[in-house]
Amino acid sequence: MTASSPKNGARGRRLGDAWPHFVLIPLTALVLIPVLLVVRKALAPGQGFLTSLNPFDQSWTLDHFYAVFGNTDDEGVWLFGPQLWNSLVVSAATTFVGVFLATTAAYAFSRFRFYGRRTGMNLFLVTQMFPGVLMLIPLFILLGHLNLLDSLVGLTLVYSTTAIPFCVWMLKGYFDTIPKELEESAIMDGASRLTVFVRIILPLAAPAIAVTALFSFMTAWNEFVLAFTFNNDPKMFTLPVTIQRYADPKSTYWGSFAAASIIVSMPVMALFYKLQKYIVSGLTAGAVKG
Amino acid sequence: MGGQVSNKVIFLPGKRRSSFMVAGYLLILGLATWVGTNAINRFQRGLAEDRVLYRTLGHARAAARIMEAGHGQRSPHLIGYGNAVGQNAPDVLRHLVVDMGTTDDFGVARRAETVWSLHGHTGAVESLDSLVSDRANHLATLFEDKDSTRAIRLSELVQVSVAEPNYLRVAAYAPVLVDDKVSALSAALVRVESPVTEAPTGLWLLALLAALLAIGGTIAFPKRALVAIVVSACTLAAALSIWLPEQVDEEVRQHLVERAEDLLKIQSYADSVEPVALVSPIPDREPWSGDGALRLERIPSSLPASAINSLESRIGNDDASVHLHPDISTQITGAPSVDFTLWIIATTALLLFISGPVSKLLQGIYEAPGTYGYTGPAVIGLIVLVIFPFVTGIGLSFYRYHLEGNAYDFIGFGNFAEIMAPEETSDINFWRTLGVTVLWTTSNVFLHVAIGLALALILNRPNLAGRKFYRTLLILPWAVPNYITALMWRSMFIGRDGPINSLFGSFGVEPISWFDDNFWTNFIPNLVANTWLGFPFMMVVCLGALQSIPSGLYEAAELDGASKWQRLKMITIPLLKPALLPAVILGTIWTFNMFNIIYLVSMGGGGTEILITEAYRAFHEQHRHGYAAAYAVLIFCMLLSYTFVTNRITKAAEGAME
Repeated sequence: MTASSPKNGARGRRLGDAWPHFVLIPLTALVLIPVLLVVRKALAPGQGFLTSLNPFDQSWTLDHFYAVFGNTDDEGVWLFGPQLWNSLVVSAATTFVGVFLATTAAYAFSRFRFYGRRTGMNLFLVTQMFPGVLMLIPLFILLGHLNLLDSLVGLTLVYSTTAIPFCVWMLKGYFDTIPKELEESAIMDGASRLTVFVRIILPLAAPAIAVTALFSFMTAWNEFVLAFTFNNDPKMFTLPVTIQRYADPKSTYWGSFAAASIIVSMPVMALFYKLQKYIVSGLTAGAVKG
Repeated sequence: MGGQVSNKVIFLPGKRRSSFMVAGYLLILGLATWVGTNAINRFQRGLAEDRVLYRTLGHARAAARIMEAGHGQRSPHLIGYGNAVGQNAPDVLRHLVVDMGTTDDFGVARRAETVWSLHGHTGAVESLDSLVSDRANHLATLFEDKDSTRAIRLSELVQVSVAEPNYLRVAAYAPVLVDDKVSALSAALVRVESPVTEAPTGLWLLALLAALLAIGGTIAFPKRALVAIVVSACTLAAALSIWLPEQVDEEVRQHLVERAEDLLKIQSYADSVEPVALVSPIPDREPWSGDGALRLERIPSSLPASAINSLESRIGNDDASVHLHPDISTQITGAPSVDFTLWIIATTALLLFISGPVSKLLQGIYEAPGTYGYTGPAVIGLIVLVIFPFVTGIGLSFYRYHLEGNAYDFIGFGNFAEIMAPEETSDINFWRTLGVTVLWTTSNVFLHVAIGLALALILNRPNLAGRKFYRTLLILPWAVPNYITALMWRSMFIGRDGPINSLFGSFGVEPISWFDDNFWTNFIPNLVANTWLGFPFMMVVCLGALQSIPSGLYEAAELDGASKWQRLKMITIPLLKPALLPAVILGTIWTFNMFNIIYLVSMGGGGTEILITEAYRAFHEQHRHGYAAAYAVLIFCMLLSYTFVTNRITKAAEGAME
């Protein structure tokens, strides 16, 4: 590195400005090509797998999208609509429950000193290490007892609790960076703790909360193992389960898989890009404290 | 680091301390008593169900013995026996005889086809019929397969259905042996009300006594609340360890007498029509002392010895008692007092060690309810849906699950022993899988950090044209749901003409069959997919941390004549550490448990299974619930100690905890 970029000299500077592109362009291509290939597969006729590296050839069709939208079960009952609805409901509910619980808990962990605080925070950290499989069997039994198998409520509860620990840690880190003087002066002026929390802290923490919301949403929107273990009825599936079925090794529909992947990825990718600047600041200020 | 919050201490130990200590103790005491009541009730229910199972088996055997005496014919004796049962034991819904080994007109063997009812029935039995014929078919196959050496478990000879609320329905089967072969199956169906259990008043009295001791002691000596609590807990433990074994012994003795009486009654119905040696009149008094519990009685000696031997060897006596029913198995065959000894020790320990923290929590909630109001919902949700299943999962790892009969046996550390010392023939080898997992985790985390850091350094260069453009595109993999990434990469590698093979082809490389049995051709696609998916996170973390390094530092270093490499080594890397280490720890945990990639890309082919997918396979495909749970417990322990050790070394989380 030292040799290739001398400190001074016009020639050196020009070279120094150019060489990053020789690294960045191929890497960006590596990132993009698989995605473009999926897009092409979704627009190309046939269900076979991809056959070449060139994303820009062949005829194109929207048949796969029509097929995915019109997906029905053996008796002709429309599945795509209900499954999309399930995914939306579960993800929205998970986001709401997860964000609500995580912000309140993180605020208390950040601002109050109380008995059990350290234990509580460690508890949240340790749960990140629980292997999902260990939870699968007891959760299955537990949800069975509560009559919550094949139900959106059951999935929502499980997803929001899995999302909470990460959100709490991230938000707590972010709250720590908000100066306490703001609150103190508000309290001097007669505001209650709750008012302070709702009026001052929440608006200031909006970027971090946005990231938390995105994380909760993605947890629910992208999960398939729990969804296909807990739900048996295709009408109760979420979209990831259906996508995984399209790519089943016994009967693979790569075309439908590609089309459905695009449909499912679009919302999360849009949200992700909308919130990406917060993700960076949230991550650096929060979970991974700089 | 952010502004520190005032260290406002909300909870002050002081004057109310002792009353909260007692309150915490009482709360735990109540909880322990409630758990104890449930355990005792389950034990009683287990005994009661065992009695029903035993009796049903007795009925099935009686009919089988009578048929054997009549050389497999449905003699008048059989009818007479059926009538006697019908008059005296109305809860026996049906006696069935299931014919075996008949052939139809085309010479095709039909099994368990004729179902012949011994006497009229009442109540809803129709729904049981398909259940019965399924099981009868299953047994018929087992009995007819002469070459099989597999022991027939008692749990296969008995079926319990709880489909009807408040009723217990039991079906039991007995083979009818004629001329050295099983000619038919005799089945009995019994429907009884679910056993009612009594509340163990003794237990509640003892708990009340302990509570009074603790309260009284604290009132008398307000400053010695802890002593009062310890005395109370020890008294309770002592009283329980005297009272409970007595009680358990008495119940078991009672149970054995009742069970024997049931069998004598059946014997008397049989005697009224045909004197056959049916059952041993009084079973062993101490079922846990050996092979007493639910032993199959000897087959009458009028049968050829070969038949007796073959059948006896096939119906394993050893595991007979173990597999019958989950609750009964552990309580009747093991020494029952052992379970409760453990329970007493656990309860006492709980009372002594948990009630302290609980009391402090109670005091905190009392004095500052608002504070706990903020954390309460999240913590409760976490306890119910994460901690509770987790603890149950740990418990499960000490059991063996049997798909037939949906039963769990306590086997202690058996699962762990099996994992640690896998048999030669086993297709699951923990140590090999662990090696693969470590290779998988280290190679991934290394690639993530290396690529992420390099890209961050490049993107962080001043005057880089199109920085935003590159960054936007480079974090794309992070935005794609990871199961889609996995399947996408599978589609890239799969097939002779797949994109990767065509790329290689353009360099003149022969197409590679990626997902066959070779380890590396399966591992590399996994690695590629996971690297593609994981580096943006590290890149973003590094980029954020790089931007927070004050540029003045570099300028000062430059003035001091530090080279570029020195600046990287002395400034950038040390200042990145605090941000990078937690990210590496997190990334390691995520990769270690990265289920989706392995499960969806290579599907575990070529031995690329990592621990988490192996555990899932044991659970989902082989239905070895306990074994899978033990696997998961090991994974958890490894991750926990990894985090602990890294934290100790780096103190990475220190800043975040304060």
